[in-house]
Amino acid sequence: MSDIPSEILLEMLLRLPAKSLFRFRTVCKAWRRIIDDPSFIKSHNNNQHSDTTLFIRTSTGTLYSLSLDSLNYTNGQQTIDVTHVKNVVRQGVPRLPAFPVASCHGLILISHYDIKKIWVIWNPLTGEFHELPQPDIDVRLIGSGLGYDSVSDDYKVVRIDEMCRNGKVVYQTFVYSLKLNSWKMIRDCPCDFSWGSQGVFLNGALHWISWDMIIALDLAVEDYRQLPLPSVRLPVDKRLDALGGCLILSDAYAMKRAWVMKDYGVENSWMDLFSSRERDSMGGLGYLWPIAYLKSKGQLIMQHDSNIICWDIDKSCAKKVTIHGLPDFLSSQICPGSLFRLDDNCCVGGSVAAKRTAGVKRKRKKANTSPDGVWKRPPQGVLRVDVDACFNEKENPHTVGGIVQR
Amino acid sequence: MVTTDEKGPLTAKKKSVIIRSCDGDEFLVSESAAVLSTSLKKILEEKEDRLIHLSDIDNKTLAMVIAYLSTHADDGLSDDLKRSFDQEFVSGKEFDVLKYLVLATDTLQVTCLCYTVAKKMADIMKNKLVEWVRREFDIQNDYTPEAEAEIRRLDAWAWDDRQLEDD
Repeated sequence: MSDIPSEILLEMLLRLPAKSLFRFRTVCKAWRRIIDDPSFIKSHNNNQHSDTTLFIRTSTGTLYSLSLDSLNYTNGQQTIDVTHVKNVVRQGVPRLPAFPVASCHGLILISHYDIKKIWVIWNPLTGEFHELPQPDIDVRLIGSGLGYDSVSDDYKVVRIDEMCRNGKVVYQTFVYSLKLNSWKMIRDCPCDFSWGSQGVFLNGALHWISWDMIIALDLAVEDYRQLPLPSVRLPVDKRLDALGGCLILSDAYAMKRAWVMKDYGVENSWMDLFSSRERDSMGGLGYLWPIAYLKSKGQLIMQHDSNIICWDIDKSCAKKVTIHGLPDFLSSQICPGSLFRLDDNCCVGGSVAAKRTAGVKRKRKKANTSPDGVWKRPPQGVLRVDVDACFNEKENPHTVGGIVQR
Repeated sequence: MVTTDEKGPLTAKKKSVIIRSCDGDEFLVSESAAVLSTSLKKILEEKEDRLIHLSDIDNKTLAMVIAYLSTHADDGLSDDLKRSFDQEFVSGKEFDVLKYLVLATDTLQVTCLCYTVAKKMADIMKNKLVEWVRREFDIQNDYTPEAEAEIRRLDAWAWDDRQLEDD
């Protein structure tokens, strides 16, 4: 073994992207033990704040990833690597919708309002996904989310449905535990929010934007609390993001205004990210969305149509890069790489499997039919994605787009 | 050879210490810079002697660490300037040099430099071949060829999409 002390080796490995670490498991057995260790995987997840892998989804559903760090805002022209990402393609599982989608630590929740559709937790890096059992309900979905509970070291999925109970409209909440592979009902959500809303994960809680507050569901205690909005006149259509460890509130679609909650939960820590005049300097027309908040650099990265804007908060100036070679109508989201194995860590095998009986029974329908029509029982809960996306665009693993700075 | 840091020679106000590398070179360092290293701080608290001998850090590495400490001890520099100094500090350095640096930060307990160097080493490593890593870290491959091939087969996607480098 080398003469590098183990603490330093650990610091170095923690700073490597997940993909490199999957390769470096073959360096030697000791490295594999470190990389596969659950506490290392946990630390690696918590270390990903600076990971700026951007996922781009085209309007036809094809996925690409690129590194935001590779964008150079000073050079006139450059080329960047854009990697094709394989989608989950499986009968009964909905297609990945446009971004933003519910995600946590590099895992993505693919959910759907149709109760017949199978929800999955997906690791886009490894291609592994885990199918959730379907809860035995038939109601109107208004919110969902994926988060991590550090107390029980468990990933949890939440669904909130609007329903009528005893003549009253209630927002029934179910929480799914990946470890237990089962859903359970918790206290109803105390208030309504806009339909189809994806919860954003931060500080052990999922957050949804309501009319006049932020609703937070603490995943450890599985109960709701409220967080304050900025005490200014707010737009009707709001959007909430959790970027760079902060909640970011903006005017949906056009992002005419944007605020960041600098200290989590503290009402007067909401701070303007730009004024309306500064917003106009970035181009008045078109959609604008926040995609990354690089706190240490004081930069907010946004998507403006198919361009990427870097807003320097202190210097009040915006730089724009245009990525050529990708289709129009993109949606994008930051998604770090995750070492989390959806086969080893969920319900399969060991003592955890015994608890599965407590879970809601899985209703399988067509999902077990393979493309050739023969019924096949999938291996316990998890499948690696082998099939490529079946869309019109031809596969292009190394699209290189020229970038022109305006 | 006695090298002074940017703050110049010993003055009545500013206390300095002399740090000697394993190959005998001596460096005059302001105390405010030296105490940024947890190990040096402890030594200075324990003994009166203003000469510290480091038996396992060579002069080149020590000079780099001292340049880092002196910059970070300079109250006249903004955090922004210190951050860009950190970037400059590790850029273009060979992996071997970084290895010695990171070992020195371990001996001297300079946590923030350790993180900066570890990050740079990770940046260099991330697109390298497994064989390169074994060579640089002097690691003996203890897998059987079959076992190694099996792990690669199961995570073949991790090898699929980029040009991996071997130098």
